Amino acid sequence: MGNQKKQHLHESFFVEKTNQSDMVNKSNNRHKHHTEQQTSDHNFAKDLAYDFGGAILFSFPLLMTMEMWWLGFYMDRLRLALFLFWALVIVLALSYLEGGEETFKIEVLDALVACATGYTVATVMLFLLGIIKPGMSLDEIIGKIALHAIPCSIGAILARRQLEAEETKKEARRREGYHAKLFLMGVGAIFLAFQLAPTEEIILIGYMMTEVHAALLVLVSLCMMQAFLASIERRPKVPIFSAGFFWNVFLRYTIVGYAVALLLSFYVLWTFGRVDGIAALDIVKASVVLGFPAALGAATARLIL
Amino acid sequence: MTKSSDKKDERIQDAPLWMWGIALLGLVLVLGSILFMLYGAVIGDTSPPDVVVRVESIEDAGSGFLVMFRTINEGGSTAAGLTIEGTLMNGTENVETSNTTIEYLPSHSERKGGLFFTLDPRQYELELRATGYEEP
Repeated sequence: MGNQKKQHLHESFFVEKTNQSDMVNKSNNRHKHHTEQQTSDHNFAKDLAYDFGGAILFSFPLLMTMEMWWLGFYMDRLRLALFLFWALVIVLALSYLEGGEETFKIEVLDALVACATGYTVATVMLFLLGIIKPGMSLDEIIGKIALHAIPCSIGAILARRQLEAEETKKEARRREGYHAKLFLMGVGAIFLAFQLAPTEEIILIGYMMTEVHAALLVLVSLCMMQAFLASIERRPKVPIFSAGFFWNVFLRYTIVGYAVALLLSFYVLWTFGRVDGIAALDIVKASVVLGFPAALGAATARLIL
Repeated sequence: MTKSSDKKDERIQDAPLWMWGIALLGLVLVLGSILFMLYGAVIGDTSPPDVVVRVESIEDAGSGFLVMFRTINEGGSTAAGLTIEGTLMNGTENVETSNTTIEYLPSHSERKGGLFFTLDPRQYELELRATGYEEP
């Protein structure tokens, strides 16, 4: 219904505009004809605008985190290269999962446009905030831009779904598969882990917690995931508080999702060099600490992403 | 409602050329930055920090004096918590010492800072040097 209304508004605006003069009318017709021939009536400029919106919306907390600026120049280059590669894979896969009415070619195009948008937004914002300045080496500038471009690019590809929120049947079908669900959980986990891993606090909290605290945090993370996932997985005819449903969700999603969240937390901490030279027990505790927001991200991924 | 279901059959087949241009730019940026990082990891300079401190200007500041300086790291690694010490010498006698900390000085980059003195640095011999750092 909302779409119809939007469409109507758009049309009335179009009519009003074209009535203004013959010149405008002619050029509009020509434009319409041209796009019909080439690309049906899809508005790519609108897509691009959504990309920019999403890139800014999803990345500004990290753009304003000082540890992120520092990581841009001092983090291990090999780990950054690997992280950039995984980011590209995530953007491509998200484009596939969000691709409703598109051919494969257009899905790849969308992913690459999202990356271009991500780099543009990261560069402009870092300059605007004075985080990139003259006197910095090329290595420092490229490191900062490339690292910040990751959340920007993921934000850009998520934007259309977030801001447009129209799910087509094909998109729903792709997102309903078990592997797709696990992948989305992984993206949710890595995205929230990414927001917090650069900060000192994750390691600090790990130091302050005892083993009992850590064990309790694991339990709380699991309960929280189970609650979210049970409400998302709920089917009309199955009672939500039955043992069968509980174990089905727990074994299929919660425990697997938590394992993914913990592993990705460790991966993100390793990427940022946060676990270098730290005792094994403290690495486990730091992973559990970061695993809490990661688990939250994994459980709610299908609502947010 | 009918409009959107009609649309489903008509998949987006192609995009305008400018859109492909942007996509190409995206590909170049992603692959370029990955290759740049790999280059830095394999062939890049990993020598320890090599810090040079240069006096930029000496100004009157309130009741004392301000020495503005520029530190340049010519080494291949980042220096964190870099301490800069400035001393005023009268011959061999140390008249006044001031110090400050530069949070991060990345490799091949420079940062600016200032040291306050109560005595006029122009009347004495001013020595600026980096005294220590930690690895980030």
